[in-house]
Amino acid sequence: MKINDKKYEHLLEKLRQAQPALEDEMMFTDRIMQQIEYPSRSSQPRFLIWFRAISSSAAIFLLGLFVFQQTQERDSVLEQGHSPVLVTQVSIDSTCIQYQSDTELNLLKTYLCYMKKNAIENNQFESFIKQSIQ
Amino acid sequence: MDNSSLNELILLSKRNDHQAFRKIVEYYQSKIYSLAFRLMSDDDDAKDIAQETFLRVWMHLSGFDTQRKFSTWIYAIATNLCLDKLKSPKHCYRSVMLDDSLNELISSENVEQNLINSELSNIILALTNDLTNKQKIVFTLRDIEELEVEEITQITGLSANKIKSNLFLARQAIRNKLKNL
Repeated sequence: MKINDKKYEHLLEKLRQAQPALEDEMMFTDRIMQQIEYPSRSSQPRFLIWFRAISSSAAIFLLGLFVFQQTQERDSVLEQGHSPVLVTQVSIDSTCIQYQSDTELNLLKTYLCYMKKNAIENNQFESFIKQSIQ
Repeated sequence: MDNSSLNELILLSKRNDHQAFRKIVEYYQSKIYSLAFRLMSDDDDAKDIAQETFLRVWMHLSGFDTQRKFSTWIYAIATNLCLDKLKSPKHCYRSVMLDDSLNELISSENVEQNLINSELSNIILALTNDLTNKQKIVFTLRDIEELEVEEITQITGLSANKIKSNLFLARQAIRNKLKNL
């Protein structure tokens, strides 16, 4: 036991003497000081990283909400029939329906009717645009 | 470095004086690296921990009470970082057999010149790989770094009794290994 104790003490003594050495102390100091003088992204305060993540998510959510609202608004306007184009289209359909039957001549008449009414509709649309600009 | 000049450097560092902090780093870096190396048994881990220790010291220096012992505070930071790394699942233990390098260490007359860090790391790892993290820390701080029990209490936060029991078990485990040599 005593021999073992002596061996143990001797080993400890050797381990104390054997100081692990840094290869280049000056370079190591420089590296530490560089990190202190120019802190990297990872050493930024945690709350800043969280704040950035939360504000990015909020921005994406608000953008999505804006797009959704715009789509909903446009759909509701179309459903309520406020669009002058849509109103005219309904009237064209009702007027051209008289030509709709199986014969080729009637099909041609229906087609020409649509063409004519579309021309009227385009004129109306143009006048609507002009009015809006004025 | 005496206490008054160290306190002066700490006060200057608190006022954002990089040159003063550089002197503190220069004075303590080999001690902290050495402690980390003995606990981690790895050169790269020891360097990372030493670097992180000084960054934390710099960041929390404003809260440091100059009535306290600076070396105890810096040792506590380094020890806690080592403990975190040892507990981390990413940390893997190298398996090392007790071999001729240990006999070489005991018989060698000129240790500093003959031993390189990797050999020392193998020896420390071979001696301490069966110890628990607490046993390893207590053994390193008490038997190798030769710190007082009171200081180890402040560094680790363990009670004096726990330190003694961990130290007893660590010594017993190492003695058993030596018996088989």
